[in-house]
Amino acid sequence: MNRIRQHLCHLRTVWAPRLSAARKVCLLLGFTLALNLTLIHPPSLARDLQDVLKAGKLRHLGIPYANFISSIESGLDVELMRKFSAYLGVEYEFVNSSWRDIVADLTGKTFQTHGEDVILTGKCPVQGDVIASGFTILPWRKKLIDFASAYFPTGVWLITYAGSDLSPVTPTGSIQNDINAVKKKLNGRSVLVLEDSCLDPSLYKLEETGASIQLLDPSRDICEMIPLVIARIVETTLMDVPVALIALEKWPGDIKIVGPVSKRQEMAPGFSKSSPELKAAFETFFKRYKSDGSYRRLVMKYYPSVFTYYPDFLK
Amino acid sequence: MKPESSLKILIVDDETVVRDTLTAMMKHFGHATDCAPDGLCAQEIMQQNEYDVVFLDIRMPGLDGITLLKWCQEADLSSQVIIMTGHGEEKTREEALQYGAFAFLNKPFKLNEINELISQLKDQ
Amino acid sequence: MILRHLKKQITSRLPVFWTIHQKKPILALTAASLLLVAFIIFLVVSNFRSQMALREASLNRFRLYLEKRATSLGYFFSERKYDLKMLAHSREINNYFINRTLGMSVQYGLKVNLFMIKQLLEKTLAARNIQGTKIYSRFVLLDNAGNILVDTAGKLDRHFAVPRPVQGSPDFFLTIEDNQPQLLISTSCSYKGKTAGGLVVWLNDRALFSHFLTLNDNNTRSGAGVLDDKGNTLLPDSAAPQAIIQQVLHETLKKRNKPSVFYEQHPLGRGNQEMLMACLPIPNIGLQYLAWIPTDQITGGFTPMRLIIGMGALAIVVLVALGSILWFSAQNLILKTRFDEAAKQQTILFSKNQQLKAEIQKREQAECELVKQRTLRIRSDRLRSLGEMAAGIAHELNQPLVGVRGFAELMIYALDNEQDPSIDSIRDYAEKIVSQADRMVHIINHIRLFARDAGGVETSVVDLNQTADSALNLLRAQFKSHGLRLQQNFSAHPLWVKVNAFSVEEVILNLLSNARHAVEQRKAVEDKSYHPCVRVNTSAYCKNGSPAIAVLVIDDNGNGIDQDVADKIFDPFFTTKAPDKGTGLGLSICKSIVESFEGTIEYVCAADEWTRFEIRLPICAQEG
Repeated sequence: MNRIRQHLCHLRTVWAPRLSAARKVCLLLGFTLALNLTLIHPPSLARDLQDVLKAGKLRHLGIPYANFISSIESGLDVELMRKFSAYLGVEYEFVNSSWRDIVADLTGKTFQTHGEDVILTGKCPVQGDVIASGFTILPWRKKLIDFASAYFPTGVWLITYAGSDLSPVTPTGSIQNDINAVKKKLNGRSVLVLEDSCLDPSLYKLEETGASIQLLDPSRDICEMIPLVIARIVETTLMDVPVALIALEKWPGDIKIVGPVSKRQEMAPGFSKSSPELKAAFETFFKRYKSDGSYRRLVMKYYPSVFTYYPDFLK
Repeated sequence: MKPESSLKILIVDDETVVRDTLTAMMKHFGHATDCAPDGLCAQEIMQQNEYDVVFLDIRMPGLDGITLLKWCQEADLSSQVIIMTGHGEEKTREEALQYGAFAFLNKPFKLNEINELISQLKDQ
Repeated sequence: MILRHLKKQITSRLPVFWTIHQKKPILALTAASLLLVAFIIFLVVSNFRSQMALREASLNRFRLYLEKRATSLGYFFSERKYDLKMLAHSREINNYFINRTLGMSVQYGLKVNLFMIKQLLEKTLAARNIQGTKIYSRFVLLDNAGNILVDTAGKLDRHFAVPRPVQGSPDFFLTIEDNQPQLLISTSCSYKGKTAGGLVVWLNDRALFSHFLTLNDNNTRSGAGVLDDKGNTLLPDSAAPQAIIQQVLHETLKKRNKPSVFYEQHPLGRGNQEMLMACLPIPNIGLQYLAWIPTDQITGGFTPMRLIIGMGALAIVVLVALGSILWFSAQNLILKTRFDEAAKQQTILFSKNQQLKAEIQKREQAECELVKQRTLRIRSDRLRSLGEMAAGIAHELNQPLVGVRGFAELMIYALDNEQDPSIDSIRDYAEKIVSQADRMVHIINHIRLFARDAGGVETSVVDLNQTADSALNLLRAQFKSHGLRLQQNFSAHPLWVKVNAFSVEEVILNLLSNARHAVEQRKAVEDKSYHPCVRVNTSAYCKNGSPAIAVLVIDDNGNGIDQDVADKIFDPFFTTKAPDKGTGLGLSICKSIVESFEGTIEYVCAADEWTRFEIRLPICAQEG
């Protein structure tokens, strides 16, 4: 428990000021943009490769998230994007965002989701050029942004605290059966979820399970989800596999994996639909980065255990 | 010429021709001569007779002239001895004179030499 | 025994050193020999003892070395046990067990634990090494059922039967996998006080052998290994031939119940090598350290017996060498003295030789001188005879000259001084002059003969008999008419002489005329019973070694030659005849003629016996 507290403190001290600052900036920018929109300038679009090159800066949208983005200098996605900006020959800039706003920050369009449907609601300023944040490819996201090639496997598991009477499912060999078994167990249990992320319950039809769905408080971070379960504030939580693997190492004996909730998913960097050249540039860059084994090394650095779970990854 | 006094002469020489020649010469001068062929004979004769002059040849077999001369000197005979020789060595001549020889003659003699000698002898 | 023999040798071979003090050198020699022998014995014994001590020390050293090795092996294994224990209680393994107990499946959750465990084990595998060689070759994590959870060698599918370790302590095992013996350590992993699984590690035997087991030499006949209680072994696969290993094992298994170290010296099959075998327990590990090494590596190649024998042989060799050295030096001395003597003799000989040579030279010189003197003397003789002859000639010519001059002077005197000179006396004087002149002619003729004789005369090889014969022929008639007997007796063989035949004839004639004269004189005074006789004989005379000589003898029984004139008869102008009968040149000429033909002429006369004249001439080989 001490550890959880420490982690939460860390989160608060490091990230919270940035969050609030970012929010302030966001608001200000939004205001300016709105003014701009109404007065002189035409509505601003997300930038493509040429703009990025002209600006001399690549803005990397990300949310502190496990080992994908662990600080301003470390994290799988941070390093990847740094390399990409070096490849382009531009400066790197990290733009902090949130699960709720990150897509809008890329596209410049606000929206609302209903299941798999997306409705554009308005405009907002474009904050970044690329999303790379352990971003799972989801259908609704695909409608709004263009994903590059999948670069990381993932899935969603259900995690509970070690002392819970929920017992892990026995793998049957078919993942669908395992998912069904897990969903059955969820009946009457509380489960922590995060909207607008890959841990959104609507993606997995959790409302049908009879579980009591708890939404993560917006002020809290995704990394707090598992500590909350350990603290038994909620019974279970959803978590994606890479993070769950790390959590297993970090809190041995405190948590246990119940079973899968989703099938195999993929993560990929996201680009605005109006930045095809940027995306193409990234593809080219990534192809080479992958082919000379550098990407594998990068993955080994941050998620060495991913290969045990996904043996076909990067083969 | 007739000699006033006649001498008794003895001629001692082993060579016949010398005796004959001297005898003829003495006869011519009117002297009486006797001959002896060697020293021993001469000795005998001289012991028996006295002679005035003795012609004595040095080289003779047996008793030679010098020995006979010495004998004569020792015997203190009154004869005068004239030594004759075929070779004229000075030494013999001195020796002869030392032993009392009166004169020394070299062969071949000259008649006038003999004449002179006889005259000298006669005077004595 | 050797000493006595030596002494005998020395005393028998060194008579040269036998001085007045006989005992002292022998005593000294004996003492020296004894000392030497004692010294050698002492050397041998002390050497042997030190060799034995060395052997002991070597063995001890080896033992200590092995013990040290065993101890270090023990430490090493302890370290391994600790390693394993640490690993067994590592966080990763613990996490796994936690998660497993929580009920998580491998699919969902445990995989990562296993992955982390594998990572840890692999890291350990890579990290633990000695001088670049890995200590461990494989890790395996097992669950209670014996299933392999993690295997660094990746052989997850195999079911591994590892003996269940006793709770709490890592154990060492020797097994055989793929016909290769392997040393394993296994320990149990416990979770919450209960055994949850096991961790097994394979030790890399290469590291083991190269750093701990193998003895520090490059000998292929030595080796070491590990043995456990059940008789399993971990042995070097390449080093020792199987025969040795089997025998070693056999021996050590017999003795493995002994708690302590043992050493066994055992002659082994091939080449009958003696091997030193040791089996030491490794402390705190249930294994034994096994080592073997050929004995000669430790203790040297010589057994004590051989050592003694060797030293003894060496001592004997040394003594024998000494003895022979002494003997040889004695011989040398003898030889040397003989040599010196010989040298001295040689110098003496040499000086004598020199003397001889000098004398020979002197003699030769003297002979030369003699020859010269003889030549000179002959010449002076000749000159003297010439002088004498000249004196004789002068004297002889002088006499008739007295008559010639005297009578001539008398004639002149008579003619001058007489009035009436007698014609008869003048005639008589003139006849006497002529007669004296004839006598002078005769003398001069003889001189001419002599002169002719002095010039070069031709010689030829003639038979003396023939020459004598022709001379006799001339006088035979004359002798006969005078009633004289002439006998001749010539030699049967011809007597070849190199002479002038006419000259020799004249000589013979001369001698014959002398002989005739002698016998005629005697006949004049003897009575009728006296038979005058002249004999001529020729013969050859040869004495051993001297050349042959022809001898011509003319003897007569005339009145002989008086003793007082005997030595003068060969003088020139000496004659016993009346003045008008002979001039006395004959015999001297005869002598000179005979001598010019390298002959001799002698006479023997005894009064009232034969008067004998001998002519000897050298016989020469017939020519032509």
